[in-house]
Amino acid sequence: MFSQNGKLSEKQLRRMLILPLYASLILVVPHVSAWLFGASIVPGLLAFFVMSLLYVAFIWWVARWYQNNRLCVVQNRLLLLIQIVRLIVRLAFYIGLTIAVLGEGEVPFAPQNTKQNAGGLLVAVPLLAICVYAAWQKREQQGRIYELMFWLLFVPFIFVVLFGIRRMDFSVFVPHCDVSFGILCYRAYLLLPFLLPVENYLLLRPYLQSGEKSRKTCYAIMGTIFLAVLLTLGILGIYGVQAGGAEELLTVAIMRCIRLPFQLTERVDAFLIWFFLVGCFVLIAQTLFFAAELVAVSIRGAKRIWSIVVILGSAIVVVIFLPDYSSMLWSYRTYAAIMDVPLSLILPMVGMLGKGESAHA
Amino acid sequence: MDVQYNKKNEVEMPVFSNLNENIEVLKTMFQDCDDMVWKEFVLERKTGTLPFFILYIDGMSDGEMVERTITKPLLYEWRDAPLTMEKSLGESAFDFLFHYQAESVDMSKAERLQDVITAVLNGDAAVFFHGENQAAILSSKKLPGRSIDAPQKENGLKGPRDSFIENFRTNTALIRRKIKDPKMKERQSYIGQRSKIVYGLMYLEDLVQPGLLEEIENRLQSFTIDSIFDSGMLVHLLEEKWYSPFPQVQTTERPDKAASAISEGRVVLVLDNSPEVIILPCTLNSFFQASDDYYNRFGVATFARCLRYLAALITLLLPGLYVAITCYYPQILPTEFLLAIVGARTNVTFPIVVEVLLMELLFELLREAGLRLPGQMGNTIGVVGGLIVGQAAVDAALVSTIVVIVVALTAIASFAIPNEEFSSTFRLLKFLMIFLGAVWGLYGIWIGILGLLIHLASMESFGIPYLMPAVAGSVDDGVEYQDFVLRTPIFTMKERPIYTQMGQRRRFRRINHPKSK
Repeated sequence: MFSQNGKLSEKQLRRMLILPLYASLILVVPHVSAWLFGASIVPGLLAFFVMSLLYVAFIWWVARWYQNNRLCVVQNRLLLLIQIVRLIVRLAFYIGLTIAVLGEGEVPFAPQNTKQNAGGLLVAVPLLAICVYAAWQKREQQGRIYELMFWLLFVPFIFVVLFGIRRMDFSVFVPHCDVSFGILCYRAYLLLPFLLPVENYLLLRPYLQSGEKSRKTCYAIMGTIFLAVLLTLGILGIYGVQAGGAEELLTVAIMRCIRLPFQLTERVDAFLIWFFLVGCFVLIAQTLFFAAELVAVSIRGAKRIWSIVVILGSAIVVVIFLPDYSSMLWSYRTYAAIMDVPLSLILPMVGMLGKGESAHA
Repeated sequence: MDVQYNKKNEVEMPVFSNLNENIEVLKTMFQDCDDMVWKEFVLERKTGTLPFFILYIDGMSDGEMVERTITKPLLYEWRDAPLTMEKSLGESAFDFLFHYQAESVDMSKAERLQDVITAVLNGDAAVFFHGENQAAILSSKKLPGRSIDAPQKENGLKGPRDSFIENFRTNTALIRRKIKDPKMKERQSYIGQRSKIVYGLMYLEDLVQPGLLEEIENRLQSFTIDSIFDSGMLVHLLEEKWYSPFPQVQTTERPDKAASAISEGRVVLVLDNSPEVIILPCTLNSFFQASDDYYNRFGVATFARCLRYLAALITLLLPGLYVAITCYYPQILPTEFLLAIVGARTNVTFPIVVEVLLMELLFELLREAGLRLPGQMGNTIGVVGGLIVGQAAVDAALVSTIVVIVVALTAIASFAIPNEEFSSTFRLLKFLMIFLGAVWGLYGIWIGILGLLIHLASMESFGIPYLMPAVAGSVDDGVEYQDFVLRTPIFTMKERPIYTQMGQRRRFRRINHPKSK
């Protein structure tokens, strides 16, 4: 039948790839970039953008190389295990981010005078249940879910930032650099962990066989990164770079500064919880889905729902050890800069080198 | 003689050539069935005699027709004819009687006793001849039933006023009358081990998607059940996700809607005894489409459709949002509005959530009571409930006026959704939203919406994504968008929707006729 043909449309593929990327960049990068670059935000973000393009180009090149080969991470058990562990750690960070983001809002029945994220935890539980339900769906259904989520995640945030344009300080766009080029590049590199959802391109590679499809998808990814950089500048223009560096959940905080036109409501932050919920959902559900797919490769006949539950359970265990968002963000950034980003470059190359040797031999 | 039944409650015996054996089996089976009419006759002709036996059910068969087409011709009109006509039909008396002497067009033969019994129980008459291991079935149904009436649940200002009734053949005829194409087929079978209800699959053979019919038939054969009394029962057995609150197949009482579905490549399942037919497959959007959308101008139809989508959102969300915002986020409301709410709630003793639930339950109670009571009394209940009880509840400070407005608006919105079953889904989910809003505030409402959207996005109806064209619309080159929230002019809807098989999508062409200029 029409929908059970194992195919994903071009639009679905694009959206499956850009939505987690967009959510990751928008929810974390404004604060981290303000903290890292300070007054040098414009050249810093430019360096990050260039680095992002290089990273995307690398992934695209690797995907092209693998067009006629099985991805090496699914061939070798050790590499597969490493890949699953990487996804679990990333998932743990996303769960931590979710609890922190949702805890910022006013949550009914949240215990008073307790840790800040108690409310977030209360909301995160049903959200995680929904993520499990979404990740449990087949690939064609995943495509449809993300196709729909695009309108609920991508578009509203852009409108909200546009509403805040009256409060924007345009001086933030004036290029100014007070650090050396090397430090700038190093700091831009520290932002790369939030670009890692791009790696999913390799896992969706079988659906990107046609050159046209893969080129368009790459352009969409690059366009998303560019838009996220612009929005980051916009957010920092509204909130201020110094204040943004101090506010960990900057994207959430900025919603309190924005007023809707026509005095429809006094504040919009309560409605924009929607945007954060969908963002967090996209990050968690997709990471869970891909991790479960890899588990299915490593353990044949494994029940999908159990794989998802075990992966989620493992990620929650990691979260328990790092309950505070500040320490989680710092730990994840350090881990990702040292381990995750290099691994995302090295792991696909292992297969390419192996193939090259055998071909040479 | 013992009657042998198989696991499907079917008689596993052939029609015997010995008439007495047939009579013995049938009398055993239909013992204590006083509504059975049976009689043995003997044909006396110049070339010999032939005993035969007629069987039918009183009240379901037309006895006069049996006499006019079988008894009278065989016993009286052809009394001088021989028993066989060897030259053309061999030596079979049965064939001679069947082809020449019986005066009916609609006759068939059955070799299995089960087929004979099924036919008799459906209102046909069976004729057994001695020495023949087959019986003649005369279509002599005269089932009790009502006449064709105007639709009760799918009213429209424009368009045909006929609706389906409980009679299977009348229903198929109502559809056939609208599509006079020999490519429209009707595959018939029966369902229910005991009820043996006839159903028919109607479709246009050149438009239906390959594999769809097989899928439907597989699902129909994937279970055995004692009895099915209405299409509503069958719908639940055909659905893929039984736990979903959303209907995954569409039902209609309007023949024009059924015919329109067939002309789009969909399959219509007509079930005997049911005044509604089932349309397969369907999408969420198809539940927002009403027949008169296509009979009205496109602007009016589009506006009506937008209203329906809005009505669905109001039905689903308004009470939940009211609870969530007034309980937990009053600060987001404009001050004047907030003061109005506070003023209306002065002296109200119950918490907001109890207040809303009380009124919503009252409304559902009135609705249910109104449905069960006869016409005029039902209306009275509505007036008494809506006006008197509502006003009394406000006066007694049980509920605030704002809550009455919220509940009334929700009720009105729920009636704007054209499909009753679909509307009920939203009314049911409304309570879930009230619960989520009361427990988690706006977070709860958003989580509820997110969960619903994911559920809907993952649903399919016989292989068609349920949310099409909101998802997967691009695979169809955007054809589906022409009949989505916007209903574009008829001449722009040149292609049939996704239900139609590839290569057969074109349905409208302009013809440059010289006179048209």
